[in-house]
Amino acid sequence: MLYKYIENGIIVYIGESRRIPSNGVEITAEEKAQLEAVISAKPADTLESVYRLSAETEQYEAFSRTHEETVQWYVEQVNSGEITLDEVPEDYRAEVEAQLNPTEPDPEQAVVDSIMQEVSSYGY
Amino acid sequence: MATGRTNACGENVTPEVTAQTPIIAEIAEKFGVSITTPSGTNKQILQGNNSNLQSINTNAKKSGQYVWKYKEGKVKDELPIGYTRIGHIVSDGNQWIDTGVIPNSADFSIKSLIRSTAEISAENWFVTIGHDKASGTATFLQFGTNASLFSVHLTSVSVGGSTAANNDDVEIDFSVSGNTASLSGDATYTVTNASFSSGAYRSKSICICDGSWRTYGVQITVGGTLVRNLVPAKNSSGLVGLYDTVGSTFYTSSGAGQFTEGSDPFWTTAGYAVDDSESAYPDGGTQDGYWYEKELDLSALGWTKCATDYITPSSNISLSSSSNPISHSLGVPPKYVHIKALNDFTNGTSTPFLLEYVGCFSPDGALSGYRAKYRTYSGDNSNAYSLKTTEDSIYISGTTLKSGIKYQITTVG
Repeated sequence: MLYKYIENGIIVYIGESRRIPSNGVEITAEEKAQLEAVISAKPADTLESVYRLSAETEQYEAFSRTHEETVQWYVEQVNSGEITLDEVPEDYRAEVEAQLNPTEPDPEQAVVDSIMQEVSSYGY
Repeated sequence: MATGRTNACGENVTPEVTAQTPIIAEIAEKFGVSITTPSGTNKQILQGNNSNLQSINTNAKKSGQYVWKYKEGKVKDELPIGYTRIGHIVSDGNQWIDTGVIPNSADFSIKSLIRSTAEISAENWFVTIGHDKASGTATFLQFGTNASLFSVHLTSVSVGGSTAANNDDVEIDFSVSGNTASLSGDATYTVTNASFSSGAYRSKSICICDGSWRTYGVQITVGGTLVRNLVPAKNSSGLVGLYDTVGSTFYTSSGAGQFTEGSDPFWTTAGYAVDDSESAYPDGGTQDGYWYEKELDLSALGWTKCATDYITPSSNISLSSSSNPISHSLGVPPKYVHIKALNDFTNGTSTPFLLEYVGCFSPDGALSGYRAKYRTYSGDNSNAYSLKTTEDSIYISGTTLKSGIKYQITTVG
């Protein structure tokens, strides 16, 4: 079965499954093809706006970035070399820098490392 | 261990045994492969390994062996979007359906899954061929209950039955072939009269759901061809009726008022796979109203289910251990998860877009192995991202599904 998964008025994804999840609305093959065509032409996100697929219009609409999304935008810009950290607006710079240079270890990675160390001691 | 005689050069000179050992033939058939040995091969050496071969034959299972599974709750009615299958419809004596089927000179049968909701002693007809009930001989033909019997009534010709009526779910086939009318299934009766063949009712329409009945389903066959397969349904406006999957037509009441909806399905033991032979059920098809599919037999691994789902995000989805779960249709928390991007893509950002993820749980339920391959602007990398599963969702931390990329999600549990 084909379906579109909707949350808060946004089509988050289109899916194919033997069971439609809650928040899923069944669609036809033709509707799926139409949505895929719209998704393939998604406008590029900008500093000012992120584009999301409206459940009402089934077209992309611009939404203002949240503070966290703006931080993430600047992280991407710095990582890809588009701008330097110094060029990030002061309101965001500390948070951007923290994501560029994380000071806290990934706790989940620490668990993996611990397991790997123990397993390796068994000689595997 | 192989046995035999060797010569001074160490060559095995045991006399050749040409007959293929039966156990080798069994294993070959089980695995669908050809096991042959070139002429001149000493099969006695192979036979010498009989105990090992027997162990293989007993314990090994070819990957991809199938078992039949009845897909619980799923009945393939091919109802179009806008129609919902319901358990049954209820008529109170005022409603009826004109199926538009006119027998003319052909043999016909009407298989009904029904339950009388009237007093058993009452006259309560389910089928009326000729709803105008014109006066005269053989002007209309009926099937239902009468005088506490499941009965057939041909006007001014005959009325009778031989099976006691009841208020239970019954499946009864009412058929007319030439001069003979009969009931079979949960009621039996046979009556012969020339008027069954030549009566005026034959040029009139078959009407059903007359009287006070629950109707679970009706199939009408004329001249050996199924012309109506009527299943209980309601449309998007909530109107209750029977949907014909042969003619793709929704039938509602032609009488006063509307049918009401019932939730109970027809009670039957049919639909449970009881035969494991390969040809027992139509794979990916309907039998007795139930949908059968073959599933991989994963019982040797301690798993019983597998599912494959697909999603295509409309925007990038940042996955985390507490939000943005990925839906799956396994129905139980998966023990094994494999997610794979089916389209290749470039990535000009540092966002770790997921390429492939594998996660597995140990028998005690602890997450024991998980690794994701992802791509950023600097290339492909691998890292460990944890996983949490529920009966319908997968949570993965630390990676992102890319907009417009189709992901395949395979779950086993």
